[in-house]
Amino acid sequence: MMHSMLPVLAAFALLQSPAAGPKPDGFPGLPANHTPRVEIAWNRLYDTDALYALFDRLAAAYPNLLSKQVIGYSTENREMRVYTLTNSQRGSHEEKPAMWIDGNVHGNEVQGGEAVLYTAWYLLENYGHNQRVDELVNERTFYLLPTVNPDSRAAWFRDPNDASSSRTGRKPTDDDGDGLFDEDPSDDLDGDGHIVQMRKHLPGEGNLRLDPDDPRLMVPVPPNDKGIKGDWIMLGEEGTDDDGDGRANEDDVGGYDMNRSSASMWMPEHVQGGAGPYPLYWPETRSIAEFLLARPNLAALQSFHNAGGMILRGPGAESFGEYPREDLRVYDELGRDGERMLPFYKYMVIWKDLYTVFGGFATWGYEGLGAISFTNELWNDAQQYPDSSKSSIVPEGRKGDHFFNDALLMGAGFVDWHAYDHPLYGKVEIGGFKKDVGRVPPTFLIEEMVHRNALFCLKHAESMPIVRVAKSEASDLGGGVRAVDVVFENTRAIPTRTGRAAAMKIGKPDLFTLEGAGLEVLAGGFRSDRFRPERLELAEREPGRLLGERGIGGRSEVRVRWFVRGTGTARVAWSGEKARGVEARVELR
Amino acid sequence: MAVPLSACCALLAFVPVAVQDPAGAPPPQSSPQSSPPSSPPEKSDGPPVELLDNEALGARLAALASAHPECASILRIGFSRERRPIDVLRLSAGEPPPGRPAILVVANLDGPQTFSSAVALHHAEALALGQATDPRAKQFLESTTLYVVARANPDAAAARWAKPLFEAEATGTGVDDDRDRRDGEDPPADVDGDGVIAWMRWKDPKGEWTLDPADPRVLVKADAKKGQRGEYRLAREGRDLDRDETPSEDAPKDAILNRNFPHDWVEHGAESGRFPMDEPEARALAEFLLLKKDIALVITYGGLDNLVEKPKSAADNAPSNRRIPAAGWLESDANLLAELAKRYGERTGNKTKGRGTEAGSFQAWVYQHRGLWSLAIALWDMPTEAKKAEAEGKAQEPPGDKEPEKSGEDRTGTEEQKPPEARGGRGAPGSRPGRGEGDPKKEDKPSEDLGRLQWIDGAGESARFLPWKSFQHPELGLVEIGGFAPFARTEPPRADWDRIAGKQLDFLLGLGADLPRVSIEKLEARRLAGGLIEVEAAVLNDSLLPVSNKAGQRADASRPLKARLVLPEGAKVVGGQLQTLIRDLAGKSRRELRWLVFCDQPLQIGLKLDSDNAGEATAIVEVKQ
Repeated sequence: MMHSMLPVLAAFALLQSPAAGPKPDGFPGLPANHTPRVEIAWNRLYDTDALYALFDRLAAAYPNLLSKQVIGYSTENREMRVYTLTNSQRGSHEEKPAMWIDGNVHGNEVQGGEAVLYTAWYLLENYGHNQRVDELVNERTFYLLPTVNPDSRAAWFRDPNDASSSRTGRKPTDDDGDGLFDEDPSDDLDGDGHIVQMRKHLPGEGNLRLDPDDPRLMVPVPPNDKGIKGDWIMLGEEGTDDDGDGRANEDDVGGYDMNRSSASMWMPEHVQGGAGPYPLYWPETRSIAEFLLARPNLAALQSFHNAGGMILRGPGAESFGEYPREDLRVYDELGRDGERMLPFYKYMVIWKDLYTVFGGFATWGYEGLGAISFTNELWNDAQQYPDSSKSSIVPEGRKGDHFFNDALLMGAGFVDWHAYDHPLYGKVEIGGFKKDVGRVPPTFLIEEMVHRNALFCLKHAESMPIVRVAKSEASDLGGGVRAVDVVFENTRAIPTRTGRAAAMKIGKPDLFTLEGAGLEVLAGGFRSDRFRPERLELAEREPGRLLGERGIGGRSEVRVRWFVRGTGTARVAWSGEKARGVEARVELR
Repeated sequence: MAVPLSACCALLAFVPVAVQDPAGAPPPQSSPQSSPPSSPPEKSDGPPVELLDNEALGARLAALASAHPECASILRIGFSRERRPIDVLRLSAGEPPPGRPAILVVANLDGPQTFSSAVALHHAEALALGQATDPRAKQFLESTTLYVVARANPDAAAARWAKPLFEAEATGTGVDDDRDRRDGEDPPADVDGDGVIAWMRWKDPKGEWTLDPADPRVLVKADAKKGQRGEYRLAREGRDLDRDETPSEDAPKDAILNRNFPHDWVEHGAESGRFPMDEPEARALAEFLLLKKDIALVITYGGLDNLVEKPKSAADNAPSNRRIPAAGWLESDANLLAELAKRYGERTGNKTKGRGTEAGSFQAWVYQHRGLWSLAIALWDMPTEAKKAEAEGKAQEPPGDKEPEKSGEDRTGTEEQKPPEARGGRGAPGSRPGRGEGDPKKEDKPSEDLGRLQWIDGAGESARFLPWKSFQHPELGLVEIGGFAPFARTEPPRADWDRIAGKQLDFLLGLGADLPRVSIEKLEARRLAGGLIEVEAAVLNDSLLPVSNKAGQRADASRPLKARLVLPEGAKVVGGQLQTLIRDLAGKSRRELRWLVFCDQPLQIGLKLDSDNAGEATAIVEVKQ
């Protein structure tokens, strides 16, 4: 099979690289003599426009492999862009099993966008030089949506923010029920471009005191009967009571969660905060759902978030129960490999190991669409100090963050406390860590993060089913009747139909057919025993057209026996939604 | 409360301007086979209750709006999947002021409930026409806004006037019902060419039905305990185009509009749609409801009911199960609903119970997720017993009502004898698993279908049942085609239409006064000493219904009532909040508020109440020195 493909590939590589000539093999992780066609700096983060522009550069450089599609528009009318990556000269995108990868549904969780970009870049730059990459590009489709929330991504880069703000979309929402919309956001009071924290000096009346070793930090005064009090209190996020209702920062921009909007186990706002008035209420969420529902070839899904270092799978809520065993086998295998590939990341079940999420997107990918789906939480603070043998000398918690910031960032990540005359609280101090500290990695660790996560995706993509006819043979039963035995094999870990898809009748069942001129199919069915051909689950009707609701399991076979009268060529075939169709010929003489 | 039927009759006495149907819609009973024909209409002085097709209904609403610009206007809220318009008629005496509460009436959301559109149109015409002369209509329209969606599901309704006649329920996305990788290849069809898609029964040892010994027109589930064996199969009339020995089991459309709303939406149900609010009609209605925050109460005329049969309820503080709230109405709301139900019974005498499921319904979404009052009304169902002597029914009528008991108000059951075997066990089109089936207490009673036939025979409504006729089916061989006619269970006898519509209108008019309306009962300010002023106020809700029901407080979907002091320059609040949000103000109750204000000048102090759907009020007082 691979042999017949090689000349095509060589020709293709030349076509793609007229100037540079053949690129050296093994770029992945092998840095010498490598010049990518599209140079991208992987030590920085890009706002919406810049991220889209980089994708456009890739599409321009690899026009046969990457194409742009606008699937909808965001609340602020930005394009919702899907980039489809596959070698369409080797078959159109919809006839191959597909993996969806997105990032940044939470506007502040930006680095998912770079992880999606890196996945595309890595595949494109290595195509033609690495057999496994070639298979991924030729035999699989990638639907890549770099940012689910282009509005808040833009706002997070553009406006004063902290690490957690701009998580929401930007449809005006009345969070405090006063009939006004987004009228009391946090405020960059001192105009320095950062939303940080406020603290106030109240000698003998506070609950905090300055850390004697580092006055940037405050420590709680333990409860005591000795009358010992602290000298400081925290006043929360930088801002004031803009609408005069007695509360500060209580009606910020937006105020909802587009990762609580999907149809599987969706719950209303009073059960699941941020869910909105009904599932897929916001244009961003609905455009993605419509796109995916129209693509039955979807077999794998990955969604990038930050932070904490997690490889998450559903269920999102305990009341769902547990996933079918055959699907858990796939999840566990990929999750375990993910833990190996992603230091400090843990493979976790959302409701059990994190918290309950109703209406999550990746859980819908599995529960609604039947595709094996993960959510990765990118970046873990522990990555600041990766050498566990030095744990005894590494400062803990915020002290550790300060040491890292001071020693490795020259202090650039922290706004030093400075005085400010607050309209409500009087003299206060404003200071704290900047938005790009804590939830995103520092510049020099971004490439490692996106590379490891991209390669986790590629492992997932390689696990999508590939079906082949492993064996096909005829045996003469006498009287002009022959038995045709065919073994259809799925060589990869993900079933052609997940247990979830089979149980809920998602999509279409697989089809196993035998046909041929001059042949009459008398009976047929699925064999349940390798050695006893009479053990057959006989089809009631249309024996030449067997329907397989359960498909072909991961790294499994389905054995079919047909009883045929006549002579000629029997074409036996498998077709399904999640893998390329295959067929073989059996001569009946 | 005395039933003000007289007022209603006065209203009905205004003969409408006859609005001619420009589209020239065919009369609904043009052919004896195309609808369940009825006895001639009862003589009535009120506006005619007319069953109109989409074009004629649209034209009538448009004509009403153009004839009555002072009180009626039309808003187009969307289009159906087949691009038919969905319109809302707004009725209000002039432009409603902010906060004036509104009622939304939604009809014909359930496809077969075409008659409900006639009732909704009747309401609109009676009010618009009565506005100028009838005091009750005038008062209603001056205090309450009424939105009428006379036909929420025009695609399904179109089947009512199409050939062949078919009781369409599904209008949305299809699934491969029989899982054969062929989509919609075996739909219901008019096999015998008589213009109606009815039912087929045929002998088959795999069948689970047998003839009712009491009446061979009726099939009952074979009961082994009675020595019965299944001998018949039953299905919608149709071919077996895919030759899988099951006819009419894979229609191209499967999603049912009233299963497509988010509350208890059944994921992966064939009738549910791909995701909640996927159906354009559902989304149009939902977006309208979200936009019009003046809506305090929704009435849905359809297959469901929560006024005749009490809905399931749970204590206000019932614990959640893994964060999911206990099912049903919250007790406080259920108690008020029961009061509305009592009034409903008194005014209408209607005892029609609902059929079908609440899961995924508009009615449930309105209450459970939006926290608004949601009244589900089933206008009529075919009685399951023959009309009885009049004395029995009379006791149920409100005093003073001299009208004879009508068969249409007889108790109707929910048992369903239609076959559940098709569509992979999801129930045949138009059928629902019956609650009565398998109930040991019911075993020896006549089946409900038998009762319906007895009612049909007694009432002379013979067109509602198509006699079984032998037919040589191209795939199945000898079958019989017949059974209950399309719309036989949803369109009441013609003689009852005006009375049903009139009584529903009477109930609707009464509801206007029950909606929450806030006022300032007291506002006092007095100077305590120097610049210190004490302000006291009482906010009153003098209606039956609370400013926000318990579900509304839970859902936090409507903004609360806002009470805000209005102070002159230089004055400031030194005690209390300038602005108070009131989330809970029960019916017939008041809330006291108190502030300390500092100002050393003589002055006036104001209080402003505003809300989305419970009215507005403003008061100003002089500070007592």
